[in-house]
Parts: sequence; structure tokens; C-alpha cells
Amino acid sequence: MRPILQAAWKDLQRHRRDPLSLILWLAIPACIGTLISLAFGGGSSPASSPRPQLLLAESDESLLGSILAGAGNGGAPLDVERTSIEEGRRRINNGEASALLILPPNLARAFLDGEPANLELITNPAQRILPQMVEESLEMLLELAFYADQLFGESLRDLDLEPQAGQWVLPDLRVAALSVEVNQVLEGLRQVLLPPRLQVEFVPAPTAEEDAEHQATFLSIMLPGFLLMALLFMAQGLSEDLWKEREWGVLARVTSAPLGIRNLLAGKGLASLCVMGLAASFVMLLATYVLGQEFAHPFWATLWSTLTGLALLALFMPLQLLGRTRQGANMITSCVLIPLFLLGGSLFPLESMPDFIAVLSGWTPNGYALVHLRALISGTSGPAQLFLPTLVLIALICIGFGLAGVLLPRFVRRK
Amino acid sequence: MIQITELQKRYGDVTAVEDVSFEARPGEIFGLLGPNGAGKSTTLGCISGLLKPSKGSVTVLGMDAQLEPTKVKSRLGLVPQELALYEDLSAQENLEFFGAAWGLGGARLRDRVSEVLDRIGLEDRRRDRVTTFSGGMKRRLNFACGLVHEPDVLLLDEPTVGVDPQSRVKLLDLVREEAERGRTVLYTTHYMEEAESLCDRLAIVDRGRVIACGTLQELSTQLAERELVRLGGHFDVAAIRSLLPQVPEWAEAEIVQVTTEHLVLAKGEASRKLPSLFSALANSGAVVRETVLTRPSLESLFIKLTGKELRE
Ligand SMILES: Nc1ncnc2c1ncn2[C@@H]1O[C@H](COP(=O)(O)OP(=O)(O)OP(=O)(O)O)[C@@H](O)[C@H]1O
Ligand SMILES: [Mg+2]
Repeated sequence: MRPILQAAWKDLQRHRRDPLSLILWLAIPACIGTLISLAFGGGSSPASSPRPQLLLAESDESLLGSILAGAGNGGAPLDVERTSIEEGRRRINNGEASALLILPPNLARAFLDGEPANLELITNPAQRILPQMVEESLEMLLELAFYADQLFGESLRDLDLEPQAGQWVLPDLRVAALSVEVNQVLEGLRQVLLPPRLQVEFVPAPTAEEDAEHQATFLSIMLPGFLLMALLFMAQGLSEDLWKEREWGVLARVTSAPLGIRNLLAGKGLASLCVMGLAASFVMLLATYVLGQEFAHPFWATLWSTLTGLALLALFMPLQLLGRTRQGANMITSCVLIPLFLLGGSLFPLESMPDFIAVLSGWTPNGYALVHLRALISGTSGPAQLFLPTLVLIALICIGFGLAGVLLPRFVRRK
Repeated sequence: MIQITELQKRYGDVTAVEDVSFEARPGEIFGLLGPNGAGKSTTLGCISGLLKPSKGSVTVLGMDAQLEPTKVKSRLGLVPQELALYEDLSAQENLEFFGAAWGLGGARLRDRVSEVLDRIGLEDRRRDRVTTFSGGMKRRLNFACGLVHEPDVLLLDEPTVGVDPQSRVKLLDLVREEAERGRTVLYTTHYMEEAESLCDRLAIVDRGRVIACGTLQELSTQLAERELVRLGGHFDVAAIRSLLPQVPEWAEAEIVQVTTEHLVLAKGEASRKLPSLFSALANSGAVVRETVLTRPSLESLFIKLTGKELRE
């Protein structure tokens, strides 16, 4: 046991020196998961459209309208479509879009004359998350588009935004002049902007209570999936460490040591177990104390997630050792990671999957673990029911690490 | 004590080690001298347990390396030719890990780590990560990781490559000390001077074979104080072979190598006898463009044995 502890201690020291990658493993899946699942309406309604659809109606075509319509084709996270006011109302009533935005006539004039302008946003009551997203994106877009054009439209048009051939930056003088102007304008208009004159009226706005409730259900549905997704990414990242050690030559050196590479491998498993346990605990604590979630069996849920993480690592380890090069190995593990990522129920909730894919999902290790994790969190099952599934995970871990142990010596010697 | 008998190591069709036998004794620095690709590292790999020999036997301290690998490994210290360090750990952490990997622990490990760090001149950098080290500093640490656990048998694979002259002297002193304490040191190099100044006994290897073995003294008597004359130009191989026995003073010279472009001869006091050689060659129609005279040394022995230079 002592050699394994020594090897694990060495890996933990190394992880401590590089906390950033640990944080990234948690942060990236969280970001991906949040964005994508938001677009799918939080998992309660079947997936219809991944992007919210905004209908834009105005009595006369304004510059603001054009900018907004253009934003949809640019990087903005929503699709914008222009319609007439009547057509827009008809479609939103039929539930054909996420929201309808109606711009009043002479909007820009009104703003410049210092009169408050009212924009009407009609949201689709049938969708929960998408309209909320429209509201948020819209607020941001409106402010950006409107103020940018009003304040700096002239200067921006003056500025030749195409850099000269072979030149990657704008001439300093112009940029300097522009920033001086921006500052002056901002100073002058501070009182106009605060409080903003431009207001969006949300129809119907969800009540605060409803909102909190949505958030809660959304979180409790998606959190286990996020956690397992993070552990999936972590497992792949941690398995790649063997390549680092090989490239540094330490695997060869350890082969010549009484410690041996199999103990090194076992130590790596132990250290990874600690790191994943830490990550799972962190997520569970965050959800409990910061987001106010309640879990039926938080301890067992954490333990189960950690064990799942190790099983995923055990899956990736032998795959890493099969690659001829680090890039090749990454390809192989990615070929497994991506299907697991898509099918495992973290991204597209099981309920929204077609039946045969849902069955397939149950056969992925993360999909299998997710079902049990959800049951643990919601309280529909307890630790006692986890006995058999735990044996399944332990078997997976033994098989994966066993295979890796067999493949490792050749991996070290191979040139 | 290391005993290698008829060692062979093949990689598919490539034979890295053809037939290597030697014996390195306790308290002795035994050198493996040979050009690139001679099979030095492969031989060391077979001793350290990294590689499995295709044939032959390796015995370390009386134990068969294949039958009792773990016991053998625990007595060995290895400094591999390529760096083998955790780049993301500090010098101290590396030494602690490798010391522990060879079974050292507790206060003994701590003391040894400090002692070794001091000896390789990295005491003030002990807490710095290896990534921040210069190439030579990494080499020194790589060296230290191999002997932190005070092994009975040391395998050193070109440990001084890329180390500055002062540090090199320190490292070589360390190697001598290890031998003086009764440890067996196997030292591979392709530096002639290093082998000549450091090693008590030597095996010269080329293309996976030991072509000469013995103390420096024994090896130089093989040259019998002869100098090597290397001529470059254009030669008629058959004509040279028939001509040479008739040239006065050169009748007993040994033809080490003769091709259409090179002629290598071994002869005592060759420098004084060059004029007669040149006139005979000129008369036979040979063209000489280049002449190199080599005094008796490991280098000339190597050329004599293999027909090529060590650092080709
Ligand atoms: N894994 C391998 N697969 C195939 N051939 C190999 C392998 N390892 C070594 N060789 C071959 O074996 C021969 C001996 O290699 P080795 O590394 O032992 O030489 P060396 O004497 O240590 O050389 P150097 O001074 O360059 O370190 C070389 O021809 C090399 O190409
Ligand atoms: Mg070598």
C-alpha cells in the first residue's frame, strides 16, 4: 500500500501546483451545459429549437430596428425576424416564436428629444426559458445598439475600419482621437443615460415567485448532469497525464524502480479519486449553500459521483495507452468522450430523447450513473439500493485499470 | 557486481545488441565506450529491467535480473541518458519521489535529499520547479535522482552530456566517490577523454558487439605503441595490398582499412617513416590529398578496431 500512497502523493502535489486545469474542467462543462440546456428550455419541454426566436415589428423602419435585425445574424444568441405588427401578434398567439418586440414610431427622435420611449415585448407563455433569454439578450442588445449608434455613429462611420493591407492595427492617432471623443460624449450624456430613458415593457412578465421556482426545478434537473459532465471531462484530462509522464521520461525511470509502474498507475487512480471527490464535494456544497438546493442524500450522491468519475477514468486509461502518439490517443478518447457527452443525459435530458436513444443512454457509464444519481438526489432511492450499481462501477474500475496495467509496460517501452 | 553474458537484444529485424559480455566489479568504474547506436543504452536498459533481453543473461550482485527483478531493481541506481524528471515538481519533490520509489523514507530520505542537492549545487533552487531550470541544471538533478537512495550498483548513461565543465568535474568526483565506497559503477560515454580519465576498465562496443575489453593499460598494449596513419585520396585497393609488403620500413605495417578513398595503416614510429611511404604510393599511381597521424590512444585503438572514428 505504501508505494501506491507515495505515487498518489506525488500526483496530488502536482495537481496542487496546477489548480487552473482543475477549475477549467469544472467551468467548461458548466458553461457548455448551461448554454445548451438553456436553449432547450430547461429540460421540461421537448426540444424544438435551440435558439430563441424574436419577432421584430415596427411601424416605420428605424436604424435601431435594422441594427437589431442584423444582430440576429451576427453573434447574438437569438434569431431575429422582421414582421408587421399584426402578423407578429398572430404568430406569438399561435406560439410560433419566443417573443415579439414592438418598436414605437419615431423611436430615435423621441429618445433624442428626451422623451421616454416604450418598447413592448410580448413573450410566449408556453416557453419558459427561451423568452427569459430573449429578455436578457434584448436588454443588452438594445442598449448597445441604440447608444452605440446615437453616440458614436458618426465617428464610427468616419473611422475606416478596414486596416491597410499588411497592417493589423488601426492608426494610433485615430484611435486616440476616437477615445477622447468617446470620453467626452460619455461625460456629457451621463445624466441622460442614468437612469436609462429607454425602457422595455415585458408582457407578461413572470412574477418573482414563479421565476425562483423555475430556477429551482431547472437546477435540480440539470445539476446531476452537469456534475457528471464535469467528471467526464476531468476523467479524460486526468487520463492524458500518462502521456505527460511518458514524454518526461519518468515512466521509464519508474519502470526501473522497485515501486514499479503498476503501483504508479494505482497511485494515479487514488490521486484522481481524491481530486474528483473534491470536485464533486465542491459542486454539491455550492448547490446546497449558495444555490439553496436540497438533496435527499448529499453524502451518498457525492460518493456515487466520485466513484463514477473513477470508473470513467478507468475507461479512458487503456484507451490512452492504445494511441501511437499523444494526438492519436486524444483522438481515440475523444471518439469515446463525445458520444458519452451527447448521450449521457447531461446535455439532452433523458426525457427529451427519443426512446431508443434513451435506452442507449442507459448503457453509457455516465448515463447509467446519472439515473442513480438523480434518484439519490430526489430521494426516490437511498444508499441501500446502490449496492448492486456500486458493484457494477467497481467492476468497471477493475477492468479498466487492469487493462491499463497490462498495456502500460509496452506503452513505456515503445519508441 | 554486474555480469553480462552473451547479451542480445533485437527489435524485430534490428539487432541493437548482438553479443555483449563483460563483468564490472565492486569499487570499479567500468566504462562502456562506443559511438552513437552502438548499443550502450540498450545494454543498460537490459540491466535496469526496462528492456527484456532476447538472449543471454544479466546478473547483478549474484541475482539474475530476470528471475528476481524487484530485488535487483532495489539495489540499482539509474541515471538515464534522456532526462527523466517531473517538470511540474520542484527539485526537492523530484528527489523525494524517486528516493521513495527506491524505498527510502523518513529522516533518512530528508537527509539524503539535502546532501545530494548540496553536492550537485542546487541547494538554493530546491523549491523551484524543474521547468524553470536550465538544461545543465536539469542534467545535474537527473543525475542526483539516480543516486539519492545510495544504490550498490550505479548505471550511468552519458550523465555529463550538456553539463558545463565545472559542474562536470563535480559530477565526475561524485562518481569516483561512489566507486571508492565500494559501489559498482557502469558508465557509458562516447567521450574518449572522460573514459580515459575516469574508468578503471573499459569495454569498447560497436554495432552491438564488444570489440575490446580490459584496463586502459591492456587496451593500449593492443596498439603496441603504434601510430595510426590515415590517408585520404584515391587508391587502387588490390595494388596497395601487393605494394605495401615491398615498401622499405612499411613491410610490417598493418593495413587497418583500405578503400578507393581511404587508407589506414598502423605502424610504430610512423611519423619518421612517412617519406618512403609517400614516394612508393606516388610511384604506384595513388593520389594522396590528406594525411592524419594519430598517436596511440583509445581513439586510435577504436579506429584500429572498427576502421572508423568514434564521433562519426
Ligand atoms: N525501441 C527500439 N526499436 C528499434 N530499434 C531500436 C530501439 N531502441 C534502440 N534501437 C536501435 O538499437 C541500436 C542501439 O541503440 P542504443 O540506444 O542502445 O545506442 P547507444 O549506444 O546508446 O547510442 P547513443 O550514444 O546515441 O546513445 C540503434 O541502432 C537504435 O536505432
Ligand atoms: Mg545511448
